[in-house]
Amino acid sequence: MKQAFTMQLMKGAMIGYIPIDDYTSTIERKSKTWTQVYSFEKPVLGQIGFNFSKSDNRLLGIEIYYARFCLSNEYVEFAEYFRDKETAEIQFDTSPGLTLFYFDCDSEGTRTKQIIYVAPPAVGTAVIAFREEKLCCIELIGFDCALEKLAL
Amino acid sequence: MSNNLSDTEKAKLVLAIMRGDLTFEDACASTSVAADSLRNWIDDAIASVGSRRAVYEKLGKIKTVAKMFVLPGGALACIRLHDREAPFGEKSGYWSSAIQLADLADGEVILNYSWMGCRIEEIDIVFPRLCLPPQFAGSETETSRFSVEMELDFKRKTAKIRFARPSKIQTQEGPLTSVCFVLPAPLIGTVFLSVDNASERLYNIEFSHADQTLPQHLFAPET
Repeated sequence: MKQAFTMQLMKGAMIGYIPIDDYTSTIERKSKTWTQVYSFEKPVLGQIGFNFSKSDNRLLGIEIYYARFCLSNEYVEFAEYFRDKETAEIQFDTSPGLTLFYFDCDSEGTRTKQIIYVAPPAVGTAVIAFREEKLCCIELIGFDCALEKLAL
Repeated sequence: MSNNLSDTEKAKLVLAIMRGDLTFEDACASTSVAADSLRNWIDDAIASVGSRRAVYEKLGKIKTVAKMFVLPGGALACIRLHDREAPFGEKSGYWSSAIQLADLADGEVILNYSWMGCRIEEIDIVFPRLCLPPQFAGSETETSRFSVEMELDFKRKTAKIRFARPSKIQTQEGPLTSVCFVLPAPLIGTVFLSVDNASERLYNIEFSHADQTLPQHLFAPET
């Protein structure tokens, strides 16, 4: 069942941040995390970063770089407020081994997918779905992720 | 007037132009040397060592600039080392590494490597308003364009992107601390991110093996 979840948008809406697990570092100062970054395939603009814990490689958060270019207009409007860490609602659903984040993406059009296999020592596969060049779903498969424990 | 210059003075003039310390026009104006004569001196210098690249290698370092764009809000900056026009955020031709500034400062640096050629073509800086010197904070509403100093060392094959000189960081009290990042294979070399301890701002980015890891046009200035 889908539940509401919070995404933070940084000033200017260039970075969207999905905090998955509590950790002591802030998003700005990442002393206890390491990050893998993957570029979205053409024609989508932007990149996705996975923040992992240095101690046990758990997934702690997801960053969307160049967010205002790859999120739907609903989120981009946050850029107009110019307030830092404005929160936007997204939805998530989880079951053992699988977590999905849904972004509002009502536009009609062909849905394309991009599969990302994260590099060791992290484990997991992310399937990113886009519609009309906008991000509409992030599917996390097999990640060591706190949200998946909610389903147990 | 040109006949009044000794060979040493001519060489200094040519080197200053090739280093970028002096423009061709300024050199002509300040010495009253005819443009054709000056061009001939430069051609002779290149001919004597074989190529413009060889002249550069003899020069050691040159100073140039890199284009940096701070996107609206100051949460993201992009340094473009290639010379193409492309929309911001178009990264589909790249694979990337993220380097955390960790405890030293807020932010991180993302190196974007081209799939073809495996060279660092774009550098993204996350939270530039927090981790770069204040003059690079950018605008709330629009993309700001900056020229950042880039030093290419043709002898040591290194490159340095410098955001501030020591005197420009007014709060600087302590030494710099560097984050060292070994580039992933098949690239070779190391990147050092130097952070000023007192201001907690990124001070410079230095690349080893830059002739092999940065875009080719920077280190192969053939004309």
